[in-house]
Amino acid sequence: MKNYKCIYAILDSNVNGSDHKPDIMGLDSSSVYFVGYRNISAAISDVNRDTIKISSDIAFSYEKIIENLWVKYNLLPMRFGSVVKSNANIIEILKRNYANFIDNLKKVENKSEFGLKILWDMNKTDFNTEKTFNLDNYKKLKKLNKNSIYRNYLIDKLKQHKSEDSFMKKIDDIIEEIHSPLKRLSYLYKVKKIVTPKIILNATYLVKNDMKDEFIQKIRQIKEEKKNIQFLLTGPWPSYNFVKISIK
Amino acid sequence: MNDVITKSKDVTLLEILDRILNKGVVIAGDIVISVADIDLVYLGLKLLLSSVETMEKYRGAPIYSPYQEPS
Repeated sequence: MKNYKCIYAILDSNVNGSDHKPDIMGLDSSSVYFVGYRNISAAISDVNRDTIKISSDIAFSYEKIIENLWVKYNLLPMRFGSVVKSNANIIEILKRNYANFIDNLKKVENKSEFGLKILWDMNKTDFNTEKTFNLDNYKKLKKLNKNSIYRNYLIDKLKQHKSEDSFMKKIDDIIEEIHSPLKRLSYLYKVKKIVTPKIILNATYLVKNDMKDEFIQKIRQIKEEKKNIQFLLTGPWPSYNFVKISIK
Repeated sequence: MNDVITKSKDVTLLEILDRILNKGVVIAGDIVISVADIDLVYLGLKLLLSSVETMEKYRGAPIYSPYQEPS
């Protein structure tokens, strides 16, 4: 017996009622339907408790349901596994969080999210970082006995530090060259600098729908200019990363 | 235009998992049994914990830099 309600998204219109049947199948082969409060609704379907188990098929299905809703409605996607016991619970959630839902729906209206990861192979990429080390810049160190283990140890450490410093600065420059033009085309953005042997940037951009083409074109252009790194662009997505609501 | 966008199924699955498990509208708290008059059952956390290992496998090296958001 399907005695739980899985919530997929919060929509910005009250589409409660028999006139609005989205013709979308939810998880567990039950139809998606709406429960409304004022001018917002929750898109839900009836599920068994055991249905809400993550797998790659379930993940694809869940996302597909949200994407299908997104074609017709401005929405806030729910985190997977959000279930309640009754429609009354849903109405209570909509009522208690109404103002927050409305604010966030306005924020994401007519906008799409893009995810961008910048990948590289650290071992194969030569960023021409400064490799020379000038001992003249370190007078006290220069005065030490040339055979001193202490002196040579310090010189090695300084060289390493200088090389890493130069390297990180180069990474920052590259990230800035990529991110600067994209942030100008975005409504909001989140950028996480990550420096590992495989990845240097993980960013998400919220882009107005009428700027999507320009945004993608800009990435194509930057990609052409930076052939020694790999661009992993995904989207457009509903605005998962720009929704800040914890349900009361 | 769409040749720039990645279509690989593995990448898409990772991106989907990252979004549907970590983002979007969140039910506050760990496991919420009841919130005032609402009897709210949140099964997501258990699933999230069980899938963290899978996610770490997909993500590779751990992330250590903080998020930077516009003010």
